[in-house]
Amino acid sequence: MSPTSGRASERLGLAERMWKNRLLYLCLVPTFTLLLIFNYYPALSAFQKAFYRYDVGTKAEFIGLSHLLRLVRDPVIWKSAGNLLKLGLFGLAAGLIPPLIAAELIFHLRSERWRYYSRVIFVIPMVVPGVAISLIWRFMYGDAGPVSAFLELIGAESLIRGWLSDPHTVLYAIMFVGFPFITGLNLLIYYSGLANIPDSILDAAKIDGAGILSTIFRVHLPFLMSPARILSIMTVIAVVQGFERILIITGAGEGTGGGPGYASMVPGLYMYYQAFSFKRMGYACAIGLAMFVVLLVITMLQMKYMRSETEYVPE
Amino acid sequence: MRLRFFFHRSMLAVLAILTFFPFVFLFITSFKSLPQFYRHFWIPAFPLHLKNYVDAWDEIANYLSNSIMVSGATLVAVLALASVAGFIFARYSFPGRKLLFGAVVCLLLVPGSLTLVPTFMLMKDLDWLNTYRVLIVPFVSGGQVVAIFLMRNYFASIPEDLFESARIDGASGWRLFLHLGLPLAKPMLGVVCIVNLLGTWNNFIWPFVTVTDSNKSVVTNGLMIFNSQYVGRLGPMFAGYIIASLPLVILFLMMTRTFMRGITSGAIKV
Amino acid sequence: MRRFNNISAALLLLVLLIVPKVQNYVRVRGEETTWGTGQATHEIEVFTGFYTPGFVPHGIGDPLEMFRVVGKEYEALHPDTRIVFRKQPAVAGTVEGEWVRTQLVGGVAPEIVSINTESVWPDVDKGWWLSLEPYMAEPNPYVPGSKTWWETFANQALTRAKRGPDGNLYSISFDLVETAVYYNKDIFGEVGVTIPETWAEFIEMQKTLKAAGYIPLCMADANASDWAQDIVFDQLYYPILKELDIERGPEEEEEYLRGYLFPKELCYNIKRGYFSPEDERYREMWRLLKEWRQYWNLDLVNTDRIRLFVTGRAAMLWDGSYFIRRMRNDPYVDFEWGVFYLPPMTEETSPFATGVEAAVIGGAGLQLSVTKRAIDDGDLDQTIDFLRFITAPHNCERIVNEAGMFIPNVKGAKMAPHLKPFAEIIKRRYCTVKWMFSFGPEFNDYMRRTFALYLGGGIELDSFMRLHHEHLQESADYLIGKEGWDFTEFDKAAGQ
Repeated sequence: MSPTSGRASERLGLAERMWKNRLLYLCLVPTFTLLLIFNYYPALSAFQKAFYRYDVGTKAEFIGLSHLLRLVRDPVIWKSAGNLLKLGLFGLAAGLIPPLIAAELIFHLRSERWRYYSRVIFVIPMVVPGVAISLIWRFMYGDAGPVSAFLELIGAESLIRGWLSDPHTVLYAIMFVGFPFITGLNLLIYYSGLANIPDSILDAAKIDGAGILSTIFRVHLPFLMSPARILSIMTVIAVVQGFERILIITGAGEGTGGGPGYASMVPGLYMYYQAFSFKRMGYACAIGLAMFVVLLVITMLQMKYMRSETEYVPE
Repeated sequence: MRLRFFFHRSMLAVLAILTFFPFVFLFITSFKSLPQFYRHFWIPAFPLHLKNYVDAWDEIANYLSNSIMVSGATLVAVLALASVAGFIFARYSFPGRKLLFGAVVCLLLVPGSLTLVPTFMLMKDLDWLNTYRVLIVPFVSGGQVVAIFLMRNYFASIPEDLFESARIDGASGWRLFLHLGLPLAKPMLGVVCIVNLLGTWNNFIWPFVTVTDSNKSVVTNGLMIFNSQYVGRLGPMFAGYIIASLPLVILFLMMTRTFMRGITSGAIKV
Repeated sequence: MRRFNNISAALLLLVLLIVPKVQNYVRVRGEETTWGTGQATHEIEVFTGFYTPGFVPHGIGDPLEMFRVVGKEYEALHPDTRIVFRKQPAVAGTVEGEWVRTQLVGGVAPEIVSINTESVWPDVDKGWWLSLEPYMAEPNPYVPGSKTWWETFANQALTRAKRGPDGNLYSISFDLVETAVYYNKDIFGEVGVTIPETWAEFIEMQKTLKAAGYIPLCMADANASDWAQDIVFDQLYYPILKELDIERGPEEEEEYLRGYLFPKELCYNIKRGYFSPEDERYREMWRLLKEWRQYWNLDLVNTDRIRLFVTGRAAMLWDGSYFIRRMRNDPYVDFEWGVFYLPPMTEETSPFATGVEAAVIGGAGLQLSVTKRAIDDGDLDQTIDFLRFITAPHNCERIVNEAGMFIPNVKGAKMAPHLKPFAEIIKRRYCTVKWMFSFGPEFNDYMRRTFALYLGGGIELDSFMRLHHEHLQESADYLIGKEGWDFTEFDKAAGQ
């Protein structure tokens, strides 16, 4: 094996270098076998099936671009995409800001013990399954639930709606789930950014007499850029991916998932319905293909704004 | 000064209470019967229906066991595969290294819901539906993507000198990995543990569509049994969720320090 | 200290992992040894819907056990057969029967499944479901003196009406269900309203109730799309039924289903131009429904409607006979209550209505079908035999009356006395059409969604009618194509 011997090695031929490193490749075989079968193959076969009419129990039939054309003309898709955009923007704000506030609050605590305990307190609720959270919030939005009761209490009765039955409010109701949006993991990632600020800089700021707010903005913020970037990618992926919450909140009990109508439908959920409720696998895969392309473009744009290499690179 | 101190602490307390609320609500409701729940939404209602926990346990014991088995097996496999792969990508150079690593990382971009349907069809074709395999293997494959990314970052940030000195002493390859790399990587292994476990333990959709045999169900899709047609049995269902989150809580309490050290190590960078 | 913590935690996890498996194993072995010698060569898996053993309807009262008891009696008679009861979640956002379909795809569906027969029909061509037609003609060995299994059922018309479009029966109707409006007598007395005799009165009293601060009527989203639609449709279209009802069925069905519009007739009428945005009657129907909606509870998605009624914040609740179990067993219900059925619409409400009595929209409750698992596992004879066993009067009666939510559909099985009002209601004429049973899951899904949008103010009547009509056309075309229907006969009949 040739680890990191620098430029001293001669320019060996490609095949020879590969042979030299054969053990490394061998060690990577399990990893890549799994990836090939369970990640790449499904993805690629899905892209292929997008061009077939494939309903479970019948034979597949090649229909070319028909699905994609139907997709573009399908008003539900556009509505879902719009919903997803709104959810995404809000989700991004919710995933980036409240955890930061909490992290700062904790960071400024005096005792190390309390800083530790506080972090633990915010991390523990992560164990509650998403399904349970969704169910709980569904109750909260009922006619006899606390949300309406609260509004009645403060005299804002006229604002009361059937939150999940009113097409105008349902999407916002879904966004609000998870209040106050302080995810333990996000908090910790921010906190790590803060913890990595060299003491010298912090001390210098204190000596200069900087107030808390200005310290945060001028001193902390640069060190929080990296965590923020990671979190934004993670959040976007989570939002695009997560239709389970919508499914349970609007679907469990009496409603139709993504309803009323299509007011809270997102592409992921639509795809789920096409595949599992109506067994139109081909169309579902077409939706998946479209989603992937869009996501790829978005992520590439995101990556363009982020380039930072500060780690060891062998060669 | 006093005012700010007070404001600071109470803000934090309010946020903590709000964040903890679902957990507390679950707990309180788990002792209620349905009529009680209808009449007292927030406050605990007496008499406490401890029977809910008994009912929940009857139902959930098997699911819990399955969850532990599935998540545990997945975790072990992911840790093993990802630490090896991460180490190799970080500290060796060989043809195609960038390409292969890129191939792994670009899978991060593919959200789960995209591959849900085709992976399901693959499972159906392989005849893996309603087995334990279907719950473990795809998760291992998917989980190792994030894990490799994290492990590689971490391994790459270890200074070369440590390895140099070990190599001078005659260690090579596996030994370097097992005796030097792994012990150093404990914090990041902790991170991978928690991230991976959270991903598999609470995952609902995948078990839901692939396992319809209640003997093999895990906690998330199994508990749906309580959500039956004429208004679910909330009490036992929530008691079930509380029981189901216990193993995770235990794990968290065990691992938080390691976990936090791993994140704080600053090795998570993009 | 930390190490001790870690070890004990790990031990706990291990315990949680192993103990349930051991419990399971012991239980299974225990069951195996108690019912005697020899292996069971036949294991029949059953999903029995509302009567699933261990199920607690409405979360109130003791878990149901009778089906399991009956199952054990059967096992005693047939030592080579074992009955296993399966559970099935009713889950988020799924279309009726979706769970079973997923199980069928995965090959783990039980032999006997509770499912609405209309959900079975679309999938018959996949070979998933068994036609019970040949078995119905044979006698039921557990009902002495019976010549055919058919004749042992109480409500002949309904039982036979469950035949699919291909003329075969796929489901046994185990019991009967009906809906009614439950009302809070105390609130009625306090506000000064009485049971309405006409629709106009109905709307008036709801207005009064609302002004008094109560929620007049509680509805669920699913029920709104299904029952409300069918009742209003029936009120408006029954008067012109002769135009629409082209196909006359066989005598036994005719009596109960006088004038029911089967899918074929529906498609024909759709193609002829009925139910379009120009159809005044149809437009009127939706207008009436939207007008009615303002008296309902705000949130139709949660099951809060039940809570609102039992806590006395709502005056009425439209629900099925199964709800009566809840009302009788809830220890906190502290008001007098009763049931009544919806009143007819008169000309006061709409020029199209003629005051005809409101139709029945209920029918069979538990419907049991047999899946291809029975064939795959070689259990066919035993499965059919078990079905016959449970439809013997004394068995059916015990099972149905333990739950107290439905009326047994077997001759000789006595109904629980508190269900009398529902037995009266079900004597009425059956409604003109059940939209939700006519086309299939995709249609139903779309129908519910657009209706919910319309009710919730997301779209206006015109757009709604347009969208709805487009979809009706699409669904009709699809069904016509799939079944290969030819309408020349209809044209002739209509021409007369």
